Amino acid sequence: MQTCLPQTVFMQAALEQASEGFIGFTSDFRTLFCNTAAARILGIAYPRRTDDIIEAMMAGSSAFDHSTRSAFCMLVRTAASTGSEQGRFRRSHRIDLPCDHTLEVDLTLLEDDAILAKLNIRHGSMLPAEQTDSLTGLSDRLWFRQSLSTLLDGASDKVQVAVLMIDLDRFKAVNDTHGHPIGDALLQLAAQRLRAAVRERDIVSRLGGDEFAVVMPAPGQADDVGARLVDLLGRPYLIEDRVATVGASIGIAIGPRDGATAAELARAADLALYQAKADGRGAVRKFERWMDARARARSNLEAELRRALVLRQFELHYQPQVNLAQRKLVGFEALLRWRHPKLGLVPPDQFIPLAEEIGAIVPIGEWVLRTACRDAASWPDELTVAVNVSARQLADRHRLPRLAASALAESGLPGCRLEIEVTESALMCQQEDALQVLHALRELGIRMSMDDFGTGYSSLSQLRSFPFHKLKIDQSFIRDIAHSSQAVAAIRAIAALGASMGMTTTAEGVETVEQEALVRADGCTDMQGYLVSPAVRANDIPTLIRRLGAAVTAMEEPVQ
Amino acid sequence: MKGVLFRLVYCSRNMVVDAADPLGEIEQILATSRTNNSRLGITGALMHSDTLFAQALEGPPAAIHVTFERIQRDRRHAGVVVLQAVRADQRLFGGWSMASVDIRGPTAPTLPISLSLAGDDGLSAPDLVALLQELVAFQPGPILAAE
Repeated sequence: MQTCLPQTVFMQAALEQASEGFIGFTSDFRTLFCNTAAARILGIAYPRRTDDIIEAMMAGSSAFDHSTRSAFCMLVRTAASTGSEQGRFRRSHRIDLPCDHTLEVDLTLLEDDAILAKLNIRHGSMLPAEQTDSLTGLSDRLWFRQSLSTLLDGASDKVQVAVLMIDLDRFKAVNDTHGHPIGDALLQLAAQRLRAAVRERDIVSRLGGDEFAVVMPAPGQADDVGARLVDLLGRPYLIEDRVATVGASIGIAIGPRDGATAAELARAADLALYQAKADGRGAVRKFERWMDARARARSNLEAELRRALVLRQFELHYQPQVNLAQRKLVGFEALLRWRHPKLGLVPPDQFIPLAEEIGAIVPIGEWVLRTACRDAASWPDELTVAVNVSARQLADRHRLPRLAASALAESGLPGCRLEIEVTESALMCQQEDALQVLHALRELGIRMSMDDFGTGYSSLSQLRSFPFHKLKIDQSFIRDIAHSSQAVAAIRAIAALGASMGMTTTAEGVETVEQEALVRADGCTDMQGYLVSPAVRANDIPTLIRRLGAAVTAMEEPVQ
Repeated sequence: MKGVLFRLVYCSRNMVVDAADPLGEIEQILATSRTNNSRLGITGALMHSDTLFAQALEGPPAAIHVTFERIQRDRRHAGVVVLQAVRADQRLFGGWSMASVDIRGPTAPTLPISLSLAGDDGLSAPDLVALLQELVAFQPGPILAAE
């Protein structure tokens, strides 16, 4: 025994009377002192030869069960090694004991490589108040992080830790429908169900809102637990005299394989959760490497997409629309293209959904509308330009009409030469506001067209609620026209509907002469597609107009 | 039986049918529920077939909430649909801490049941309560009185 850190008898007496255990040792595990409480907690007789307590525990002698002892030794070992590297530090840890008790270990590195361990046994459910979620009584996000870190410190190829990230589906709807007190009560019941469904040693935390996490020190059962939680959390909740139901989506990650630090592992579990939600909710997904790769690719793409407008990487290409009766050019549809410096032309389906999700579609949509009007103003007077707008642009009842008015004024294009295309699904998500926007646009003289008609599920009621000028028949029908009598029937019905309601009907994606003949026979009034021309750049439009003019003359022979 | 009364009626899918001893499981469910219910002042009836449970619980609201939440966590059933959760004027199963109706039992075929309970047949709560009352009336006698 070298020195005795509490140097006075008073300090020794004070230490002896403390209810918490104090034990001091060197980084090579020689015990410097140990008070009675520590000896009691560690389950050893009052130490006479104080220099072997930690060593003895390391060697396997202790009143603790095996897992507690190894967890404790792991902490001490980690403290000793990190301590000598990092200088002074302080860390708190908790080790779950049987019967709902917890061993708290506070480690402080003192000068001269001496380590002070403060030991305390608490009843397991007693978390420090500042680390308890006040609504549910579960531990909070901070405690989740800390306990995950502690467990990961001791994790290895053989010793693993599982994190289950849990999100309640449709919880917001419960709050909206029944009010926040009911929502809060539901969270409390959900917390109880979580606690009841896992083992005593598993750590259940509420991370915030309707987000929960379970940390499992032994992840063998993680999949089963995940499935059980989806089942249990999805059962009805009786609150006062109401019955509310939510679902649960769960993402699972196993450390250290899927993440060596608490932050990495939590992120992996979050990515798996994201996938579970994307898979239709009420599902359990385990983390896989590709999720990380895809998330990174996506976040790169997102950053680039946000810059693309400023860097002028967007282009508008124009696809001609032709009247079927005279095969005469009537206008162009403006199509957005992203010319990425490395990836080349990125197809719209690979960036427009992302742009919608991150809100970038609003400024991009503004650029599209202004550019299309400017380009169209230089075309012959009878040609129209069609511009697509997304659901996001319809959400604000003033923004798009103001923008359209300003784009028309700026370019000098008359309103009747601008056509706005909306999809059925965009109308579906923004019903009330969207209709207001459509009426405001119509008042500017703008022609309104319904895109992808026939693919939504409420086509007819949509048509009744707003007078469109044009229906665009989705290209999936045209693709099937030659070999599917259902497709033919659908096209005929839409064309007849259009005719009876005074709307033109445009067949999209016409690629062959045969398809052209069929859509004409079925009553469509217009067409667009590769047969006439793919979309071209604004610069190439004069040439295309000349070519199509020539083609019209060449085609002036009876069809059918 | 004073104070506010609450009645809850639900049906669910029987998941013990594949257990080694399904009837033993159900006996156990009933035994636990009778013990708890008489302590909490809850009365009611449990009807079970091979595929389905239907249960009515009546008693003080707090007791019903606790009991129903406990029932919810039971893995011996699934697909719980709450048919009724209302304040009640009077107990309909006052004599029973939990009457049991085995609708596969020997008495069942003689009862005027035209309802198929095999699946989602849209049985309404009042129908179910009436049916339970009717079936309980055919039982040999109260098993354990509430209170």
